[in-house]
Amino acid sequence: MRILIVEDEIKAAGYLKKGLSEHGFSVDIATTCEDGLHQARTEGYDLIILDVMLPDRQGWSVVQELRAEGYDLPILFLSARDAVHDRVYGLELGADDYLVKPFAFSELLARIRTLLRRQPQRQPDQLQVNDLELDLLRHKARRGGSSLDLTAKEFQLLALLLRRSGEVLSRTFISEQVWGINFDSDTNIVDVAIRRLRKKVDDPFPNKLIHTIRGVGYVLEERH
Amino acid sequence: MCSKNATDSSSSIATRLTVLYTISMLAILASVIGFLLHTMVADLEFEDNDFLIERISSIRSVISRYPHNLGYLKEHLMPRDPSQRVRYLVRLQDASGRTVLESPTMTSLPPLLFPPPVLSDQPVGTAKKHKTGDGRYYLLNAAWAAAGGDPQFRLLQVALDVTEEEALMANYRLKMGIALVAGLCLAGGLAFIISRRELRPLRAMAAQIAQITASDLHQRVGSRRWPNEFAPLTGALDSMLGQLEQSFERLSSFSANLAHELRTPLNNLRVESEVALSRPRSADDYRQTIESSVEEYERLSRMIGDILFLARPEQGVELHNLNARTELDRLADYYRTLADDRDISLTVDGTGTIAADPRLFQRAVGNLLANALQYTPRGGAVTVSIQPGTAGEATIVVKDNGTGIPDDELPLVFDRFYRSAQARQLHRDGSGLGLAIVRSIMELHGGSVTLSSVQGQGTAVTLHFPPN
Repeated sequence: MRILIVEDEIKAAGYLKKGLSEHGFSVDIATTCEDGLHQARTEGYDLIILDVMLPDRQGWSVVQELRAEGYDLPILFLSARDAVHDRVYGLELGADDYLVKPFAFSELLARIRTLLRRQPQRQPDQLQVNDLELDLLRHKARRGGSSLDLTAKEFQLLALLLRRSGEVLSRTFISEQVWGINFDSDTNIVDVAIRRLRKKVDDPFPNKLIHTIRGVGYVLEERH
Repeated sequence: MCSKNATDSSSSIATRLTVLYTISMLAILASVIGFLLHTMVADLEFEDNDFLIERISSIRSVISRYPHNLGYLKEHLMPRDPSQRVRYLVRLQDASGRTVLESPTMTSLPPLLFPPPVLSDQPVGTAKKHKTGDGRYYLLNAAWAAAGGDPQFRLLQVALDVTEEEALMANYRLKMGIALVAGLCLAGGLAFIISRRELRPLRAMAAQIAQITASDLHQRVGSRRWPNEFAPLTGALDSMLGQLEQSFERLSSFSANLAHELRTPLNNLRVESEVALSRPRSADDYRQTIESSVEEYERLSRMIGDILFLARPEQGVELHNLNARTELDRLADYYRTLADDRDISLTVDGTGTIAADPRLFQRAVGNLLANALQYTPRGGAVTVSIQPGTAGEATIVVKDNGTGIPDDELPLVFDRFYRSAQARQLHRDGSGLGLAIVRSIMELHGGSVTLSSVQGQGTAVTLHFPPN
């Protein structure tokens, strides 16, 4: 997957490129709107990450021009401006998402993946990692052949981790996906929820699947 | 401003008091002096009048006894020594108007000047005052005298020289006038001195207040003894000073807290990174440093987000008609994870529709639930209830039976960064912005938030949403 980052701050562009490259994306950088537009027209990108405040003009205009020319690739805004009207304006212009600085890298990654997956996909009925299986239709979870007794929210949480297996999910993202909580609460609710889930899913088994990435979030994956 | 008003004489109390005192004094002195003069004049005139009446009746009786003995009358009436000036003069005329007898100086008072005579059987009236050309004053009276059955036997005209009395009275009037003016001057002067003296506490108070600056707002005006009339003023001033002092303290503690909350994570980041870089380390050490940094970054960005949220004067609020029950159930589901972990029951009660911005509503109630769970011990209960009002307004009450808030902290809990000693202990990572944000959100909705708490029994926070 190819991503174009239009960002004038070299440091920010640098770490974004590094982070995204390490997650399997091929990343190019443009530092002005003009360069960005030119590259977007000539190279076939799958997604554009666009800073709002750029030296030559505002990032808004890039979206406007690309959309006017018929490009429908996903565009994600990055901005330190978090006023509601800025957000709304960006989305109305045709951007697909809007992320306010400072953001967690895991958050950006999760959103990029969501945007790239935007095309309707058939959700699988069954999810499996190692010996953990989830039957989404029947709401049944099994590990190592024995059935796990999960509450509805625990099941949703586990399903999210499994569906995004291998991705580090931030606490904010988990709160939003599982409970529909849209604000950044400073409680340790997600940690508590994960702890309780681990008790049922991981504790009885020697092979642990849910891992903590300190300071970032949680990931469910097979580790050897 | 105070000193300017004090020197502005048109609105000076001292000047006004002096003027009013002097006017009152004028009224008092003038009426007393007027009364005295009037009585004196009246008494004198009464005596003189009486004297004339007495003379008339005495002459009437002589005439009726000796109708034709002019010699006797003359002797009775005229002074023996013609050079001696007599105080009273007499003229006798017969019914035809011919003068029968007359005092020598009576010539200066022609008969026509006299009042019409009363009949001989009638009481004598009041005398008439007359000023002659040579500046002398006379009281004039007239009456008929009867004799031998003729009621109009003689016309009797008498005059009393009151020139000296008039002069005396004029002298009195002058002296009284001088006394009046002198009294007024004295009264005015005294009034001015007294009012300035009695207004001295006012200047003293102004001086004392002028000395109070932002750095010593703890001073109180009422600590000194003032006249009783100042009590409401000093009371009001002191309560104002108290409020100013409180606001000032809040403001300075806000700045101090802001500095603390921003600098602490920044300092952690900086020093920890510097220490990590100061010599070569294992990859694990670096990892630990970076992980710790990420935690600080998170704390810092949340803090900055909260501060910016509070600092923004106007926020876009997108009002939707929310099913409050659905929203609260969603929140309760989330917080129940925490509640279950601590054996606290979390229940939602009631239904209703609320016009609110979904994101902000969630944040406000979420903050309250987080607080309630924080300060409720194991086995406690937290309830969220929706209470629709009659006029379309609605309230959300988040109630716990936890530790409660001491009375002296109640007014402070909505202050930005305010954290009680208990909060610092129980919730080390808290920012002290939670309730400030709740209040800000409610103000954005045109509503309000109220809090009631009993220490040891729990706290209830009520969000009031206005009708849509």
